[in-house]
Amino acid sequence: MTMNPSILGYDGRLSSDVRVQLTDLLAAIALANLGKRTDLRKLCSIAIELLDNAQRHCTGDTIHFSWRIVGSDVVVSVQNRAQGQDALRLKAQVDSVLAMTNDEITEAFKAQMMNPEFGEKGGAGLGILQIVKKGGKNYEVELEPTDNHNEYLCKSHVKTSLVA
Amino acid sequence: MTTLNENMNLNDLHIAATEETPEVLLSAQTGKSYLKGRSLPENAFEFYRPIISWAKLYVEQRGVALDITLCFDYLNSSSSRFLFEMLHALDQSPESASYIVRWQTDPDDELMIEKGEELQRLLKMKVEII
Amino acid sequence: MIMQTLSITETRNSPAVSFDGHAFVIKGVSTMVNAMEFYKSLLALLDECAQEAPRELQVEINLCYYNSSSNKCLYLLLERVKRMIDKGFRVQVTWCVEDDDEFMREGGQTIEELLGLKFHYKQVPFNGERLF
Repeated sequence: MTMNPSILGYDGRLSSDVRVQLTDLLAAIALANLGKRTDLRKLCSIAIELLDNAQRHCTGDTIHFSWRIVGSDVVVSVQNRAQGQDALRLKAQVDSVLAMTNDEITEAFKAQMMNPEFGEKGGAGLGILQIVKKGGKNYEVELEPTDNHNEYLCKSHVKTSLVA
Repeated sequence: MTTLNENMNLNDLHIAATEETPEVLLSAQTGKSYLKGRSLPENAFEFYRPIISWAKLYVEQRGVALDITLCFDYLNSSSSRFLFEMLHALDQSPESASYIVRWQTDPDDELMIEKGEELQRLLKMKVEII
Repeated sequence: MIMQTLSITETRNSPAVSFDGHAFVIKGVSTMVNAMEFYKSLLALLDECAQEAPRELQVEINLCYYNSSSNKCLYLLLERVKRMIDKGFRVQVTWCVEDDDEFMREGGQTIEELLGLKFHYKQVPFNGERLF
């Protein structure tokens, strides 16, 4: 199976059904372009976690998603509008995880798993930790103001090396 | 003022033909799409799964009008089922009236003509048997 | 005493679950945005089961993929299992991994370590082209 180019892009509404379709298409594209490898799910998990977060917090009608292979990296981008407080919390959480050492990230992941609390939208508080744990620290969050002063456009980009 | 990047869109899905599966091109850029060849995979669901996903995402995004040529030498029954699932997904688009399916078949092949006629009955979008 | 049983059918983002009183099996994929909505009935079931007389129990986690929201639910579920073992239940936990898939293997090891449990890892063949 070959597909061109090694990209999956989507701009539209994000619902649970759309998320299932996107992950199915991503699976086919990742398999076709990268072949079967033992870290394939790990590589795709970054996109799934970013989409989960976007679905929980998106306030707009549409999200933007792209999954690209650039040289020896996989680059995943997700953009969605979110409430000011959700957007700022996302940015703060990513910054704090990026400031941790790898051991600290592993410990924080374990501590958060043992914490029985869930966010009000069903998040386990593990997504960002998992993205960094599995994908590394090339994770950027940009917040752009929107015409609505209570909302930001959240742009997340994660770049992961395909070379083990 | 910010808007989402509008240049990005659902990408074309191109799958090369194999002994058991057709060549597939689904183009979100031009709308000109086709499935050509024979379709008798052992696991039709696995083969058609990304194709159905693409169709559902396409409807969400509402791109250009689709013009799909379907030209099958042979279509097994499970392939027919999933092919219909894909067409049915596209049929849900508010713009499906502007979509066209060109069912290309041998004029002597009664079975394939019947399948085409069945699609004409079941779908809102235009199905042309040629 | 009537044992609780359970059977849930798989969907595109939630796993099949079956429990006959002796074997508890979770199979498929688990990528719901709000996983706790799904898992809370399973946690309640195990809580109830823990009240019964200790017996032998098989727990099998046969998932091809789960998201992080489900990850915490699986931890909470196995924490229940740990409590049952402490009460005298004899439980074997089988954690399935497809063809050395790193994601599932590492996920199992993290939970195993946190709870001080010993899983039996079962290699299962890669299921066609299904990643999720």
